[in-house]
Amino acid sequence: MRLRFEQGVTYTVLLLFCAVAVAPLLGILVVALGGGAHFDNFVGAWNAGDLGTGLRNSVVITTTVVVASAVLSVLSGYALGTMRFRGDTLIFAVFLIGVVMPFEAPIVPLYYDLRAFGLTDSYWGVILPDTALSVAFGTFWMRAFFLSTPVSLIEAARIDGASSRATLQHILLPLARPHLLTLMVLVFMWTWNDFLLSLVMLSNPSIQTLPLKLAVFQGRYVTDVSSLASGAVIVMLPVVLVYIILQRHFMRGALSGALKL
Amino acid sequence: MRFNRIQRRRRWSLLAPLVIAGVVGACSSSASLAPSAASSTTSSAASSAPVTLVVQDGEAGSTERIGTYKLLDQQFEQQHPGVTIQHTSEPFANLTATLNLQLSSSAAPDVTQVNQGYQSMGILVKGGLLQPLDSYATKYGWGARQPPTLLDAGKFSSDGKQFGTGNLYGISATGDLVGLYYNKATLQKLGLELPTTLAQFTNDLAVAKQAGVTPIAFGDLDKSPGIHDFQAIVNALAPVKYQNDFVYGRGGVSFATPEVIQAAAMLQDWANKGYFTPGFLGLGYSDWVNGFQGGKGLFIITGSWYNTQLLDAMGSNVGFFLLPRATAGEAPVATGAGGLPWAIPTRAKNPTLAAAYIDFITSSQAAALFVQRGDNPMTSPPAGTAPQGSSTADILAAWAQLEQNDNFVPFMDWATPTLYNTLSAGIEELLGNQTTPSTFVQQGQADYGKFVTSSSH
Amino acid sequence: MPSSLDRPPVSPPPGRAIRGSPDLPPPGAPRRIGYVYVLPALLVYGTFAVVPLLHAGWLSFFSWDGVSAPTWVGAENYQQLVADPQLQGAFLHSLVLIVFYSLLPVAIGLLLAASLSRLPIRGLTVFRTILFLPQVIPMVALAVVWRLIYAPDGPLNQILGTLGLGSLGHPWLGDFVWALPAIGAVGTWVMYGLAMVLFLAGIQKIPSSLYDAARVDGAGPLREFFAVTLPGLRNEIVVALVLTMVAALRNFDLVYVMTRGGPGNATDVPALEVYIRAFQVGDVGSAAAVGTTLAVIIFALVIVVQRLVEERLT
Repeated sequence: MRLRFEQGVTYTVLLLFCAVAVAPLLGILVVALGGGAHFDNFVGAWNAGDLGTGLRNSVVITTTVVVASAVLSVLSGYALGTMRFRGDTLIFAVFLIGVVMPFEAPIVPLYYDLRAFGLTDSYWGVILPDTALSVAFGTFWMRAFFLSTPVSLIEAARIDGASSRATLQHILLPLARPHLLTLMVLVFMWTWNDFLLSLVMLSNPSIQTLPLKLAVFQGRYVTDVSSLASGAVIVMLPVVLVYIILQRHFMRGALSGALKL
Repeated sequence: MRFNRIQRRRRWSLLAPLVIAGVVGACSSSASLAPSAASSTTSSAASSAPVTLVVQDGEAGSTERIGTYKLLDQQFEQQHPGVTIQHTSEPFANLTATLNLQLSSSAAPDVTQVNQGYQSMGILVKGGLLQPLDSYATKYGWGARQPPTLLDAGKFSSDGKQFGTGNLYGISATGDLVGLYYNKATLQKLGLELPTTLAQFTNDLAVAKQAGVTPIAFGDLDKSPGIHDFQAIVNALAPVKYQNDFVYGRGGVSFATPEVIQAAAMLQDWANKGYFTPGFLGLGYSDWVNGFQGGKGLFIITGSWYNTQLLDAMGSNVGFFLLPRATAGEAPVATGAGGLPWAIPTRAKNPTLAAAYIDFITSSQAAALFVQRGDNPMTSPPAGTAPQGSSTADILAAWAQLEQNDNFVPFMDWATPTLYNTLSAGIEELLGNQTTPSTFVQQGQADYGKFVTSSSH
Repeated sequence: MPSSLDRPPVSPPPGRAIRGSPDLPPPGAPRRIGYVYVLPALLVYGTFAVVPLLHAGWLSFFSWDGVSAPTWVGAENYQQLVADPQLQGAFLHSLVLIVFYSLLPVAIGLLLAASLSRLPIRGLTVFRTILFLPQVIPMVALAVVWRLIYAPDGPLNQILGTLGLGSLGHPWLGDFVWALPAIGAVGTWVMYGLAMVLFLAGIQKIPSSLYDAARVDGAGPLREFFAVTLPGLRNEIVVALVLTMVAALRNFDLVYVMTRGGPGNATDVPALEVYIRAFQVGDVGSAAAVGTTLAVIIFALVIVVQRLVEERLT
């Protein structure tokens, strides 16, 4: 009896909090649809908010950051996880700082420094800093994986005459795939959702990202509630889709305490 | 256009503290680089040999306005056979970031927009990177074309140290004006007429409230609209000379004057009497502007940059006027300013043609095109450009009246880099009864006094 | 990768490798090739994260408008930071937000953990996916959604009206008392799913034997929670606290999109002050000082929370 009661409580609590979590999101969908299944509002928001441009820019920036930080993190994580060299612990400590580093401090000089090199108002103004922070976490994340691989595996490869590159490429990387995919999913989410960096770096509307476009769209007095809601749904949709498809990887990241926000 | 307004605010507050004369840093002046405009005739507009005129604006993102410029480019090309215009649009931030480098290189455009103020145009003038336009102004008669007060914003002493006087280095093609829009049908239904004194206006508000109509559609969740309402009242109460002196930091004036305190008290009073849309501190643009368009509200206090939108939504039912002065018979005073001025770099390859271009885009013919496309030009268009009785015609009439009386006042928050933030927050506290008019004014004066003291050396 | 640095091993007897010889020691032993692998990441990270962070600290000792030459002012920016009531307010608001972003979600998460039966939960994946959903959505979009919800004519006030509680309605984001809690509540809504998901996973790692033992000792649900569940979730609690507190302190997107710090300065936060000072007002030194202070607080907090919770629970 007690078990059944406890189970009832468990499910009630879970259902209640799930309902609270989705209610605002379902609500916004209803507002966006305008009480019917017509998509005029979405088309309107898409055009008026220039969201197509935003989508393109977000895709370009996010893809570049995800690929670049995955490659760099695998390399650095491999070194820090399987090799010992002078200063390796110091280097790792420096990377760790980046895992919790708030962007609010470095962004001030970043803007003025990148501006001096003409990199503001270009994709690079967002890609480079975003990659930098993602690499900090990525190194931490991939190092943890490489540390967990059996030493015997690497030793065997070495005895077989494999170079460090071959060991990584043919033996460790295939094993690292799920871990790497989780990293890429997390970096995708952080980069896609970034607002502050884009706000500061991208003032030219033709290269602004999707979240920035939404903020600009809201700031315009012509925007009515249902097209604003449609805009919000459009901005949410890509990341929610990726989340649903790859939710295992999001969850793995979260459960390892990896989600820096 | 509101986004432009935000950019404009940002540009002034971030980059153009108007009163810092001596602060501008190590920008070695090379006066030899600046030949007099008249002598530099490397190319002539009359020649029909193929010439490319390189034009650069700083308004990337203002799609409609750039569209107007592109149309003007075509007309200019037709008038000048053999001339091809190469027009680029830079985001505003780039103008201040890279203009210094660009104008000192061989890649300098023939015509470019420049930001007003010491830290932008002042630096360029000091570095000898801009040509004085005075000889062109004489030749083309620009002085008579635009309000003298607004023309001053393109002037600098040739050492770049004195703003608002000296040579003319830039001239704006478009401008902004703040005033009131009103719902004609509602005004008529309430049996009211446009007020001619401030007291009449407050009476109209009371009548509307009594009749269950929101007197002023207003929402301040986006934090910037409140300044316009406050400044409109200051415009109606304070002497026009004081208001100009305040912004330009002249004559040791203070923010804490009886008129400013009175304006703050009046704004608070309106809020407490329920003259604004209920819940106004929690209302965003989409709520209150759309509300006004949909008939909720008799008046709305905002700028000419809203005109196209209101006209589209309300047609002939919307009109525009300036808040009348407290004293009967005085001509209204209002907040207005020119957009980014157009200038000719010293290293321009076709300066004469560039001057002809500037002349064209500030002509009354161009003004007509700006008006037709919903924009507000600095130069008055030919009579009859705007349909009789439209809000556009109202705005043009108000502009002409202000010009005639020289009653333009710059945006108040240009006075110091921090004043926009100080006032916008203070006004909300005033409206929410979190502060008193005198405390609000003291805070404004603290901001103003600190800046004036720190920059007067 | 330059192959000269990466020679295959020629199987030397371990321990006999001479410095500088091409012979490779076993894995884990010193290998200079490591530098080559670390370098690209270190370069990007150093140039675009570490150097700017240090540069921010350096800039915080200058008065600079972003255009003309900076002037050294020593600790003046920090002195002003301590003396400025608006900044004090901003940091104070962060503390309030920590309650909403961090303490409430962790409390809600623990409530769930306490009410969980020891039986496996059917549909756990679905529950987790839904609970975690707000975490993955751009804050800007959530801010737009919640701004609509809080509008004076918005759904929240309408619901209150339907329930006959219309008198409890407010123009939430324009109310000097309610605006900050309203923003905080969005934080709670976003974060509780994270806490729940973390604790759901954590609780399943606690050996049932511990619960059995507690029951044998006659422990009620309350004692069972404090004696078994809470200590068992130690790591998850640390992670949840650190993540949510950092998020509370860094809050920018929500405030910027929802209120711009208003009404008045009622929802002003440090990150917004950094943005306004650096990019609107042109007081770059002061912005750097606020940013640096924020960074120091966050680094300190991460360390302290980890220490504190470890001590308490071990």
